[in-house]
Amino acid sequence: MDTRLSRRGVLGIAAGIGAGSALTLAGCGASSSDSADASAAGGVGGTLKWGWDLPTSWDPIKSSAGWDVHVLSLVYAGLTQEDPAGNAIPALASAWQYNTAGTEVTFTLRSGLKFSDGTALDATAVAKSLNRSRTDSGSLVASQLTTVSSVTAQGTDTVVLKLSTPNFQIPTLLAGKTGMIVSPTAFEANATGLSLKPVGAGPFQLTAYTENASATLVRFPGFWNAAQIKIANFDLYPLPDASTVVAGLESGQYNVASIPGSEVSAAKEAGLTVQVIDSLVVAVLDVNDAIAPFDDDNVVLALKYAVDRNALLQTAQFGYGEVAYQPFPSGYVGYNESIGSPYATNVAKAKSLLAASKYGANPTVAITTYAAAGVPEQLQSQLQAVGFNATIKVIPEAQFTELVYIQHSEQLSVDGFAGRDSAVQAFQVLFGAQGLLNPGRHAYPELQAQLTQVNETPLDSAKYPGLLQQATATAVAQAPNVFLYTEPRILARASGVSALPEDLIVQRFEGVTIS
Amino acid sequence: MNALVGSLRAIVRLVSVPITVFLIATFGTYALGALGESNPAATVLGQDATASSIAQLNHEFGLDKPFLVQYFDWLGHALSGNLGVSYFTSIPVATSIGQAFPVDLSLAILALTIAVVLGGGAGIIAALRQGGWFDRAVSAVCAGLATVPPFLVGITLIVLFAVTFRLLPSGGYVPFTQNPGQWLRFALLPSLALSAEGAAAIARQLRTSLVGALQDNYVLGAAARGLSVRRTLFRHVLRNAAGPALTVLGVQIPLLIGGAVVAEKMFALPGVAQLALQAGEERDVPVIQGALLVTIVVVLVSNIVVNAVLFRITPQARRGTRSTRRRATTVKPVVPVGGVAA
Amino acid sequence: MSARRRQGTLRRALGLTSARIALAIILLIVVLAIFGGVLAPQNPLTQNTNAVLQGPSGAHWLGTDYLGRDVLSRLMAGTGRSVVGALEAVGIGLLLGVLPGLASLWLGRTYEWISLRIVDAFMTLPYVVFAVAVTGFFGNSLTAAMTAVGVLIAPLYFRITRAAALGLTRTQYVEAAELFGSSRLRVLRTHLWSKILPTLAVTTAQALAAALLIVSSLAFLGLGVEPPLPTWGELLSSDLDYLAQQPWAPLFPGLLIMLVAGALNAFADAIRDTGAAQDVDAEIADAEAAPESDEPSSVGGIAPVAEPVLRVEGLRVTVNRGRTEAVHGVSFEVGRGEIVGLVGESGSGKTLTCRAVTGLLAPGCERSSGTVELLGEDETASVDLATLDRAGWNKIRGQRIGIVFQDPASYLNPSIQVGKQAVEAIRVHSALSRSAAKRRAIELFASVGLREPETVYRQYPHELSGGMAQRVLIAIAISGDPDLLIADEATSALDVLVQAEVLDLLRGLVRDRGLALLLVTHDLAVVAELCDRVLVCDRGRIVEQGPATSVVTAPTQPQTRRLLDAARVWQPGFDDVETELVGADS
Repeated sequence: MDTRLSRRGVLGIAAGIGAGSALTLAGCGASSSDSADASAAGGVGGTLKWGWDLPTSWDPIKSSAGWDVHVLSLVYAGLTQEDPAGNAIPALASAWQYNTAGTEVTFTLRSGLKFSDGTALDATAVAKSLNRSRTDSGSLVASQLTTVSSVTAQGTDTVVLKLSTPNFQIPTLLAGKTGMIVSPTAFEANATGLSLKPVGAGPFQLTAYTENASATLVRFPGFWNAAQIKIANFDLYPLPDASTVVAGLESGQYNVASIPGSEVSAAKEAGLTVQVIDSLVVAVLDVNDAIAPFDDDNVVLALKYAVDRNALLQTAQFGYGEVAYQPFPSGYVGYNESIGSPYATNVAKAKSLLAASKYGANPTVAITTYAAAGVPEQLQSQLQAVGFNATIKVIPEAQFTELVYIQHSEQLSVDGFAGRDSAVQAFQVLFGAQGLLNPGRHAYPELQAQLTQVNETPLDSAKYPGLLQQATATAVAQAPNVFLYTEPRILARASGVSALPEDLIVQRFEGVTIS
Repeated sequence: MNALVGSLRAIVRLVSVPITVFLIATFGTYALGALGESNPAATVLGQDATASSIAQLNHEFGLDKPFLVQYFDWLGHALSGNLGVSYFTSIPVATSIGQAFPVDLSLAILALTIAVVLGGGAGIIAALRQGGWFDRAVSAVCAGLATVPPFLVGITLIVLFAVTFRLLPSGGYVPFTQNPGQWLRFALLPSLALSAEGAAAIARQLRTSLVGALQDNYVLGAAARGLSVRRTLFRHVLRNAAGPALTVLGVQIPLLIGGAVVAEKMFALPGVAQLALQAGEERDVPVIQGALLVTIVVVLVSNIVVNAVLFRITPQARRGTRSTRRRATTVKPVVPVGGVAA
Repeated sequence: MSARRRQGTLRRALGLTSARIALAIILLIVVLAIFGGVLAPQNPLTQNTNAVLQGPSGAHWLGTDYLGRDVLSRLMAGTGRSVVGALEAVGIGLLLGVLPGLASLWLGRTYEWISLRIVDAFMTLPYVVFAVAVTGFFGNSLTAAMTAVGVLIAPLYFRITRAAALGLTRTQYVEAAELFGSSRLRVLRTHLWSKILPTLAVTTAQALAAALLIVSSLAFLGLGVEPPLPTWGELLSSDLDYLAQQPWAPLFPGLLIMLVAGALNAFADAIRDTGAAQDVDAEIADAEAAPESDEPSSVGGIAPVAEPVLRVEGLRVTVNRGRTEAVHGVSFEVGRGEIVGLVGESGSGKTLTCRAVTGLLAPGCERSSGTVELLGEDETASVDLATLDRAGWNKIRGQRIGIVFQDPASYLNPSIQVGKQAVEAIRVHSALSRSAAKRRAIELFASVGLREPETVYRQYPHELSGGMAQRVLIAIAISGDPDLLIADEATSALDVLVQAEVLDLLRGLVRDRGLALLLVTHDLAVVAELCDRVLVCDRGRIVEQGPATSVVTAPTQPQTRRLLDAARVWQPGFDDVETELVGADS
């Protein structure tokens, strides 16, 4: 049993000294009012210092990283947001209504809303913002809004979206980055400035930003759900190396930080509380079944049986997360319980499948990755154990998209998938004929038919979960993608920070108090 | 008149190199970008990349033009102060660099000060007590510092000061203009790590130069005139012997300002080098170009400054001096290891 | 001498213990590089995910890594690739640097200019950004990273090769060879190659060390690592990800890199230091170990003098850190208003005596016994010079004892105007203000015969002729109104006419100010001209002393006769000698 004085976890020592006491609001960092006064203004107070990441851009349509959504959700709100399980619930809009055909949806806005620059958040503003997301030449979210043919404001609190095909997924789609509402006054005056100075209507507003260094935010009283926000100040920091994050938490530089699985025990030893929160992020192998050797189904199957997903999970995340055979984590509406563990590791079976394939017992495979240490090394060893002649091919990260997604020249690529707000869009990216994680460009007509059905089913219909899960089952059975394990968010927090909401898709901070 | 022409010539020679470097380097980046199999538009779009969205973004970025046109476009804009916009953040490059540069500058100043004080002090004392235990210790420490894998110095400092004794933070930054006290807390460890190598190089060089200079006749002459050791050292010897050490110092400046990548990564400092590293990995060409520009300008300016100071303190530099009884010392060529500060 | 030196450099370098240890380490590494995989206790690639990140144990002496692989085996097996990587980089640097460097000297000015500018360009590139760019564009392999490093090392080789060759092409024997028609290539091959090789060897050793360290930096940033094949850099890089679990893990590859880099640097240092000039202090080298004797060696004892200013008794000086005695008990006095000549060949001990008297002995030399006293008008002004420390001497030198040397300009700071240095000396010894001191300096310059003292004031030492510089130094030496003036070969570097003027000056000063003057020289003609008394030195002893005229005209010792020969004063017929002496200017 490790004692406080043991060598192990040297970065986590001094657990006894001051653990918990002076950690939270110790005088590091640039934060302004470090007031520990929790009784101010109805329980609002304190500063949350989050070591997570800074966004690539504060403009949601220019943000080039998917995980920016967590940070952008601090300053922007959408018509809808997601509940902890990933279902759409009201946000800026209090309600919505589809027509029966599913080609038109009307959102009713809450009244009296304002942006952080004081301008009114009414239907006109919403329409302008959504149209910008759809049509701006530099918009990176435009491709997700292709089904929307028009967005119009009716009166001050009604927004109508017309769709080119029936699509009941819009409420979930608009809950994420795609649907974030930006102040038209701001982007009409200075669109490029938005990347540094966001103007939205989220729970916080940005007061200072130094690129790659820190962001300072304060509570925005005009947030539609401001009553639930109990944090007065929010400081955001980029995350340093795994080796120093626990030290940073201990010293009070952050009071909440994302830590890798390898640091969990060190964090606990330091007296921090660790929350493992499910997310939509899943590790996956992109399999190109249009080229050798994976154009032979036996080889694909052998691959699926050869991979020891649990071992990979242990290495990559020290066991935090779950082995995955499907694209969604359990708890999400698209997760299909009955799928079970269809490809539990079976070396003998893998070998016999290879023997039966047209490439013989030792087909050559290159594992393409841009970060070779860890999982790819282990994968190589696992594949070699069943007979694959496996090598690791390292490519620069900047070439990954080009080679794997555009040229689809790689046989097997180590990848990750961060999910989509709209479940159907997730399927398209993973399994669609043009899907980027479907390098073989295979079309699955049965799956497409099921997805069309899903699109045409309202989200709140009783049939929806079943239809979605049916699609999941089809995909897992037919597509070559090898899902490996889920990658949950692991957050360590200092004492004094209350428990954080465990939303699946976006990290939220409603109800969190600092003391 | 001749002097004027001479100095003009010198300026041209001085400036021609960085300008050449600048043109070659920036052209090279564009060329490699065009030749290499990267596709910034696709990388930016990531898993949302469709053929049409890529094409549209390529057009936004101006990447659908022939690369020579792209290069001269960029050059033209750059000369008028417009460095373009990052592919990945849409933030104007000048803004990003403008925010990142003061970080490097303030750290470099602190690190240089520490290096001069520690290295200069150690070098002087070692030379005065040549052969003694201090001299040998300094030599050993300098040799050791020259062989330490550079970031080990930084990691050691972090483990000691940030983790074990929790005196200083392990990463992050506050600008000096915002809060000098906080700035010092964040800047101290990285500056120490950055200065280690420079201090060792200066100490070594200064000691060697001083040991040679202390045997020069004019040192004997000063003693013959009854001048004290301190006066002789500071008013006479250092002026004449500081040249090589100053050159070493000069070499450190561009290393510190333009390229302290390892230190910035380790201490989470939002500086230019880290910006350039990230941009290099992502192939964010406008940012790379901007960073190259800044680096080269810095090198140019520091070269000029160092040369000016060298000129000022040794008017004999061009003529050289005769001196008898001089023990021959070979000056070690400075191998630019460029550890933490590179 | 130089040929012998060239051959023996390597062998002599190996005489140093540090070089031997360094070489042993390097050889060990070479063995590991070739046989590391075979010698490793376990397969470096075997994974065991049930036993990850374990500490040292019987089965795994250095523990296991994040995939359960044996760390020791990975370190050993990784030697080869790490070494090869560094060799690659240095090899590329050599190739790209040495040949163009040599070529730049012979292929004409255009090529030279262009190549110099390209080299400058590369030297200003921040190497990490360059390495990132290269690996980014050409793939993240060890070879790509090492090529980038090699390209950046090339300028160093270019510069060094060029400098070494440049120095050599201007030597006479190379020019002679070219005159005789040897082709450039031949010249290069026969003459330059062996000269450049040691320099290249030193640089290569240093560059190898540098390349190893750069690898580790790049690995920290994730460049140039190719899992699962181990290299030291890659081990370091992955160790840093798991620092919380294994805080000591980076020590192993880190120490290994340091060890090799240190050994290479030490070896390079050894080669360079032994190959460098072996200057030996002329005095020490020339001091022959004469048999010691306890007898006082001043012939005829101390000749008592009226009003002595300086009294030396039984002075013994050892050199070579006490191992050899070079001055064996010298005694003499110098009186007020008297000019005493201390004469002898070089190595006779006269300079050592002079230095011992002024407290300016070189390191390694020591006054082992005897007394040196500076006497004043009364007892209170007398000082036992043997008891003084530096601070004490600073009150004496420049104030009560003035000293001038041979090659006068070199005894002044070359970068400060001579007038300012005079003012400095004046103000150190008096309470004069700066302007008063400046006036005094100009007065002094005038009094030593400098015709335009204000102009001289503003000049730098190298701008003065030998005679003017010596006058300046004399002016400074007498500025404190000293009791004793010592001139150590003060006129030996001056031409005959100037020498005569300076001697004149000295005589005048002695007469006007009542100084005591001790003149150290090898030139008996000077002595004959100026001195009242002469002390003849030979091998650390005073072999003859007496009034100048008698010593010069009737030397009793063979050493004195030799000196007279050297001064070409000895002529057949004594009368002529007397005429010579009397006819000299007074």
